[in-house]
Amino acid sequence: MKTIMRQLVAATAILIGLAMVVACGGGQSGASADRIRIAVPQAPPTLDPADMTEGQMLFFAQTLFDSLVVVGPDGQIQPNIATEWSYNADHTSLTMTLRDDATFSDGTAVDAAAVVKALDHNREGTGTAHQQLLSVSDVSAVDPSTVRIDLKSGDPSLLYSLGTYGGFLVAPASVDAGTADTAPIGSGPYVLDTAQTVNGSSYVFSRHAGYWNQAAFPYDSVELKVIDTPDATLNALKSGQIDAMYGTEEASQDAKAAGLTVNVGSPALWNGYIIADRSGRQVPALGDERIRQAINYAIDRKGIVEQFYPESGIPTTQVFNPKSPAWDESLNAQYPYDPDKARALVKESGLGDVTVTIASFPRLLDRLQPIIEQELDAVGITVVWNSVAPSDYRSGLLGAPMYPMSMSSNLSPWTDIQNLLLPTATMNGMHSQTPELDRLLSAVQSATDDAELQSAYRAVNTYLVDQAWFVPIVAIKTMFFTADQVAVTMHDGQVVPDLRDIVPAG
Amino acid sequence: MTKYLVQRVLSGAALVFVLTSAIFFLVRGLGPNPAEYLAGDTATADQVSAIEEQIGVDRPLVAQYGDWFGHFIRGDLGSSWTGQGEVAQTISASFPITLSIAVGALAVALVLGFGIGTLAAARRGALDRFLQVLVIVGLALPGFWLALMLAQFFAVDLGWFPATGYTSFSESPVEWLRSITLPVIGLTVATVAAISQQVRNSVIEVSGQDFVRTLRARGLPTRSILLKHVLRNAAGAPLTVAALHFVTALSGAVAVERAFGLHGIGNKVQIASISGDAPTLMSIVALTVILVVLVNLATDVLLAWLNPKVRIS
Repeated sequence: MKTIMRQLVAATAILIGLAMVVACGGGQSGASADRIRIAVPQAPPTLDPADMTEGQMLFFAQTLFDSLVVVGPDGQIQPNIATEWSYNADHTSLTMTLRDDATFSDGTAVDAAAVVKALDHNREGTGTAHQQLLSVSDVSAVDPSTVRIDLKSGDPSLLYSLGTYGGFLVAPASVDAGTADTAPIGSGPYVLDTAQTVNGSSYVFSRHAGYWNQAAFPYDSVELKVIDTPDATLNALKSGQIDAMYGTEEASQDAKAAGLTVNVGSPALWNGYIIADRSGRQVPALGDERIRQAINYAIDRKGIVEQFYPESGIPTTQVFNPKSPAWDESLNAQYPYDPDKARALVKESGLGDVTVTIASFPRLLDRLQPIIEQELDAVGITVVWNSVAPSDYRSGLLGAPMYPMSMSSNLSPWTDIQNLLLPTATMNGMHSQTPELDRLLSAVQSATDDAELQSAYRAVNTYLVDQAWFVPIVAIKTMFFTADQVAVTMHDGQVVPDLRDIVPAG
Repeated sequence: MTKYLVQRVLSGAALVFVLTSAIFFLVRGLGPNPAEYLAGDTATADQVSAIEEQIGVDRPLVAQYGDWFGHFIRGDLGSSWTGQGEVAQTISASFPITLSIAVGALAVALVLGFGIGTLAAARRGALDRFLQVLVIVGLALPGFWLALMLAQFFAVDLGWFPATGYTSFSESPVEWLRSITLPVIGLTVATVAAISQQVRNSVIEVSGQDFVRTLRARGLPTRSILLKHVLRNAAGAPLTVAALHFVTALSGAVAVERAFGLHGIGNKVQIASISGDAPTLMSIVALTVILVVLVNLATDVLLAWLNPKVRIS
């Protein structure tokens, strides 16, 4: 009896202890009106805008750095540090007038000399900014409030670049001291609060006191919490530990069921295949446009979207962004699912039994492989999958004759052209170039008004779809999950919204 | 004893050298290029080359490894190749998290495992059969799934514990306990099952030995025989299993840390593997090997103390 009593007392003591621990906990504090907590999937490898790469690093960049212009949610270029700008007649020189009340967080002025230094620093970096500013030949200060950017050749995406990584401004003092990667002095609305930041897991930013445009950023502080698993991130949002997160198709039903807001934007990615061996050097069949077209006819895009991307997918035959001037809705009807037509094209090619080699890369559209293999086999094209090791991304995957890709699509088609089409483009591993495409690209570069530019872009797009250099399957809409107390305006052509477009609800 | 300790230390050092070498050449030979990881998908070859030069991975592999190992034996773990700062800082921030949940899981597993196993062996009958079923269920439950279920129910639905994140003990002991409770449970279940099974079998086996019968014949209370004599003799195998499970918990922590968004060493190892960050990976592996060697050593000493018939040699 005594023993039983003793055990009961011990068990009760343990239960009371546990209850106290649970009760003493602060619980999940709701988002305070003065701090926004956003989940990011990885810690920033650097805080230097010159070395940052696109994606969710954008939140880090936008807290710390102001950009020369702002790309609005609808893609319109708006004034920011630069209040006015104008091109010369052939669009090879851009002159920008700067506002006079902007300062870096160390109190120094964001003047023309500082902007020149920051842009030169971005050009010399290793990140997205470097790529965005490849067309720039020189940046110079005309006077303390005027900057001139000279170009090697026309760059229709320059203003977009100056609204993102290419135009983020770090202070000359950080560049000179070589501390831009760890302790940058920025021009943006917030500064890194090192006392509250836990490197690698939570980055806290407090207001930059002298920032000229505080009203555009309603939160007094920003916390970027690194959570690298989608399940844990969603649990953090559901339980009130964070206020916003990047959303995915897989998690959207769960998020809706939990009462979260699922914000859906326009597509900013496409999934599909790149046919790089357009001259048939490695796989002769791919050099025949009828085979490339047959591949496009053989794929049941609608079926794939219904099965794998029911919420976020739009079947597409185009590599450009639906909100960009290159997009042409009629081109989406060019390759309906038509196995008979595909078979006829294979037969017409006279190549007999056609075999194509497609690279396969871990976690890159691998769930589509059985379907692609089956659908191509059905029209007389045998697929040989060539596994590429993770270490061999650049030479193995991007050097393959045909490979899967999940690719961003931008508001400025020139960015996509730089990534996909130019002879030096990363996704043009076999350096394809044709006189016809050169002529079309040249027309894009020399266009001086919007109508001319749109027409030139569409001509490029039509050429690509006709030639079937790519096998786009689905354009994927972006998703961003938020708690009740947060409102978001989604941003066309970006996987995440701008920081300034995440505000308190109501 | 001294010879034994020296042998253990030397074999541990050899293990560190062999494992870090193997990991380095595997990561650099077959893993991702850290420069490509940093440069992003659309970077040009020139950008990748510039980063390779910047972080020093353009040098011969042997030079890279020699450089790291030379610094490592002098206590300098170097810097991450993928911009995650000093490796020593990364480890000092992440090791306490993993140790908290691994040691917590071991402590809970030892208490529950010995309790359940002893009870099952002493009472037998329906209770024993019931506990056997629980053990099978416990062993069969995937740790990651269990962790997700715990997070959903106790953190998201009930709000009793945080769904993600870690609070250090020095910051708030109560919050520390709350932040590790669910991960510890996630890691503990399989270990409790294994230990209790071992304890049950060992207690039943030892209870049938002659010296126990003699003690009973001398009229010693059953409880005293069980706790003072049987359990002491039966503790060897379960403690060995517990030590093995502690080592497994360090690797199993990857799944649990992912489920609870914890930035422990499991998380760091995973990120370093994906990004090709060899210095971080090798340093964590080296320290884990040292920890495992120490745990095994401590287990041997404990076993010798519990049962003087076991001599350390």
